[in-house]
Amino acid sequence: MMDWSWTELQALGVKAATGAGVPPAQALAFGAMLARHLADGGSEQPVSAALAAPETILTLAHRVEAMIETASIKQRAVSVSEPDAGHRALLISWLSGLPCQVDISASGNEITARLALAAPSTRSRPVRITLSTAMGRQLHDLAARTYVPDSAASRASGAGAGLMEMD
Amino acid sequence: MQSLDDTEAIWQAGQGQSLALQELLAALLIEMFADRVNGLADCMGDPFGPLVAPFSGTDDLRAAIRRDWAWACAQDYETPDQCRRFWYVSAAKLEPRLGDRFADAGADLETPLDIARRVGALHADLPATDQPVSEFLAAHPDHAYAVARVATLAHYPYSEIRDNLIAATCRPIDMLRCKLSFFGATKFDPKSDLWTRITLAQGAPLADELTQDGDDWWLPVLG
Repeated sequence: MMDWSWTELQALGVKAATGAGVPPAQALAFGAMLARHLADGGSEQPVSAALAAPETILTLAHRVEAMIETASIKQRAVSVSEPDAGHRALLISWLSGLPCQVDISASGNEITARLALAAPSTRSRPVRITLSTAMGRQLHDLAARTYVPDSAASRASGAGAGLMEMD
Repeated sequence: MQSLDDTEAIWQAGQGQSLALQELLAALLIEMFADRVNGLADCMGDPFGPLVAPFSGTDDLRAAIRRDWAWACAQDYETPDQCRRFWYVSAAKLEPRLGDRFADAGADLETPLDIARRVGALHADLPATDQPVSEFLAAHPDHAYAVARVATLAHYPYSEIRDNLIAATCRPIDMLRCKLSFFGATKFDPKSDLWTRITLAQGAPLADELTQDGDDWWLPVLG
């Protein structure tokens, strides 16, 4: 098991989603969802599956976008139906991790959310979040895909290259 | 100083002085009321992200871009010098780095700091007829990041660096200085456009020098 701060885990989730090929906005949203999901004791399995099939992340992100838009324009509670239990769990965590206050209820395949878009979230964050070694490895491996190896050119042109501090 | 009235008098006396002096005065006055301000530190982080209402449609989005991002849309990002730089994360140091798009490897792993270019591309792709933004993004998911930045700037006017961060003329040192000043850095000594020496906590007491009334150590060395 590995122990993370919220910020570390959220940032790693963003990098991992990016490494999986998810565009920046959806990767950022995924990172926030990941921290909320694991902090709330959610299962790692749907997270791992979503990272292995990144179109899932795009789909979930788009569904949440559409819910927020509907809630804003029509000023009413919004509902979605999601038959897949794992996706349903991630959707709930996604909504719970939004910066605004959200009242969520779930019944069968149906998720209903009442969003107060102008009211900041009051959800607390745990000091540390625990995840399995396998989950941590998957996140790290995907994040590493976004890093650029050093080259002779980058070393020669980087900050401080060729300079020596003598004082 | 006895009361909040005294504090107000000092604050007002500084109003005709330089902004630097006013900033210093604000920092000093805040330090005097620990019981009132210490708890505010817990409110300075934003754990959740900005609270922004979505656009009512793509016409609303276009209007926000034309109002707030005209400078970004005026650039021609096909011109090599307007897109020469790319930001990336170094595998060796896990730190942000700048590369030359036309000379260095790694541009395919670019960090999305090409915000002005993204907003320009979003503006170019917006449909002629109004439609829900979520519908537009279903067909153009890569534009979601630019939409979020436009929405944020519409509500928080200081949320963006209004510059083309991938232009050949971009000087990271300007952003670095701004960021470091938030950490309390002083005595900036730039060594190039990429890095600067600074001083943090100069004059701070060592452990054996700490006393109950030793909380004015930083002032004599600020200049």
